[in-house]
Amino acid sequence: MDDRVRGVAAGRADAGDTRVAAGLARTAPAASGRPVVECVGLTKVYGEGDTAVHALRGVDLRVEPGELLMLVGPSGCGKTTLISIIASVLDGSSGLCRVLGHDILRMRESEKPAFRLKHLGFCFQAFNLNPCLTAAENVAVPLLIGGWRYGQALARSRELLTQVGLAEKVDVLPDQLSGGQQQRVAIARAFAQEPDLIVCDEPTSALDSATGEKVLGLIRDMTHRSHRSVIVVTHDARIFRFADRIVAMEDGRIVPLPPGAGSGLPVVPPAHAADAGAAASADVLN
Amino acid sequence: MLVIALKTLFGHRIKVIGMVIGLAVASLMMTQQPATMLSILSRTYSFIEDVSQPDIWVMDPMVKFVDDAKPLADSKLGLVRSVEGVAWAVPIYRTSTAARLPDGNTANALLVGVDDASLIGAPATMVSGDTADLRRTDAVFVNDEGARLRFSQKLPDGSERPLQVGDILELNEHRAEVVGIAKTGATFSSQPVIYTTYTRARDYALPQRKTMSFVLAKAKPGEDVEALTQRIREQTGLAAYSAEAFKEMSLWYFIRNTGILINFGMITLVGFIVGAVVSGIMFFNFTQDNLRHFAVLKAIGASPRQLLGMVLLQSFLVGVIGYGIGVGLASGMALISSTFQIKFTPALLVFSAGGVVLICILSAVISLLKVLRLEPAAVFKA
Repeated sequence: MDDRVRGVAAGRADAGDTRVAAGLARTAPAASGRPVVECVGLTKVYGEGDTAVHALRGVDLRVEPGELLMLVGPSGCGKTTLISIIASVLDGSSGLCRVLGHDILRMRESEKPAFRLKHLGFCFQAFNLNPCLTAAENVAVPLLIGGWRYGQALARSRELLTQVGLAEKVDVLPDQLSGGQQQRVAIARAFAQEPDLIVCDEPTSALDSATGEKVLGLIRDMTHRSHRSVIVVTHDARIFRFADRIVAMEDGRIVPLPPGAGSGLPVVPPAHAADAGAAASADVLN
Repeated sequence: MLVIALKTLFGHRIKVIGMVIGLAVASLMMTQQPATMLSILSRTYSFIEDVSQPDIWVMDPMVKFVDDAKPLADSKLGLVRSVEGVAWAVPIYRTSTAARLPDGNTANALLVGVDDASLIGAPATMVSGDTADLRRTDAVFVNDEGARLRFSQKLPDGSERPLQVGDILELNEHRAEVVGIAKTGATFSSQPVIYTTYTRARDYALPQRKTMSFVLAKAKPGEDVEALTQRIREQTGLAAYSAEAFKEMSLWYFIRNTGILINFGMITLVGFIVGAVVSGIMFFNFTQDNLRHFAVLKAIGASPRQLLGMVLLQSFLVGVIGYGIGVGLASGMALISSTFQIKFTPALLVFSAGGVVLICILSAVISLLKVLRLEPAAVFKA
């Protein structure tokens, strides 16, 4: 198993040493109280001169440990650009973006893959499951990238698929699963290496409302149980109630939430949201 | 990661089959065509190889290759023998003749007359009979390929019967009894080869004033062959070459004066290009189809090295399968070809494997450029 991910299986007890060795000092956002994500004056400009497109115009954002934050706004407002920069798959133009204490904008390209593998989980709108791999193998992908042995990775995948209610589907190919089931496999994959931050891009847009709610309930449950932070980009007002906090964007800026948009939000601090989520989890999984 | 690479590869069966077919055709052509060419070219000097004992071949200075023997006067034999450092020198005679078979048919053959006393020049390996049998009255040996193919006789029931020991041939109205079948290399023109003694060969052939084709000479122990060859040239005014040099001279004559190398080379090149294009396009297509999954792997945290390993493994695997099928087909074709013996040398197999590896690397590089330039942010596009 790769040192980079061994900490996951071993209850992360030894992960700190290996991460320091890899040049990525371990942070403990929950314990330290430091924000998981901290963006200050973050900008992103595509192109130059007259054709320049300002996708982000000085975004300030904090995501606290254990928080499920929803990023909402119309198409083209910069949501996906923002999470792409936070996820270190896209370079920002200026400003500050710290994720788990790491300055993403100044991080070397060669360090980014290892950073993402250790700290980030991804959940995509189009699920992005490999159609040639079984559900368990798809979940195992981050672990295999991390150097886990195939058998061990598959065993861990089965555990995760059981947690998301797909114990019977471990050996099934994605095209034999419903949309909701595919997204649950993707969620299990996002949680496989026990990341600190999970980034979800429109996770419910390809699902019907009931399934979408179940999927979000599952994300919230798994997040709060493990005290991880999640950023969900969505248009889907039906799932706003699962958020700990909602941040609205427009024209590349954070704007005040439209009246009524956040109604029904649980008025609990993120640290306590785990309890609320756990109560709902049994219903969701069943 | 390798499991992901393999499962992804074999999940696209049609493309894999396309790539494998492309590589199989390429390796078939890159193996079979050069093998055929080498087999043909090796026939240009097979006669020299069959006569294994002499170190030096002495001949008329105008001889350009082994089949181009220009008759020498018998007195030249004494000249060669008189050169210091020559352990022994014997004459050998080569000419074309027509042989009448037991069933009445005639076939052209190469007649070789070897030294009566020592039988030096006679084939070293006998399929049946013994070398000493050549001393018997009217005795001749026939090479096995000739006995099996050109000298085979049609029986009344329509079946073919190869020439056998005990059969009688007629050479220029002289009786010749087959006393042995010899194992020799095939000749360039696939003519049967008849071996007999030097004196008897002169009787079988049409009357000529000069009959000696070559003088075969052996260096004394410890004698430098190159230096002796030079001495023979200087003292006899004849051309003299070591066996290796004479083989090389004959080979290059055919390479320069026939289209063998260009024709076979072109077909081999076409095989390489077809294989490279088909497999390259298929592999690029396959990668293109999987770009999104490569982007996901990049986003999750796969390093460029891991992605490189995946693409190379996929390319290498289809290469191995395609090469195996191609070489298998080439071997099968060689096996079912009874009239033409194709030799697959290790160097040839390494050559065709190298060609397949080159195709795989080219295909992988084209795909890798696409994969490595891929923005992982693409995963967030629906």
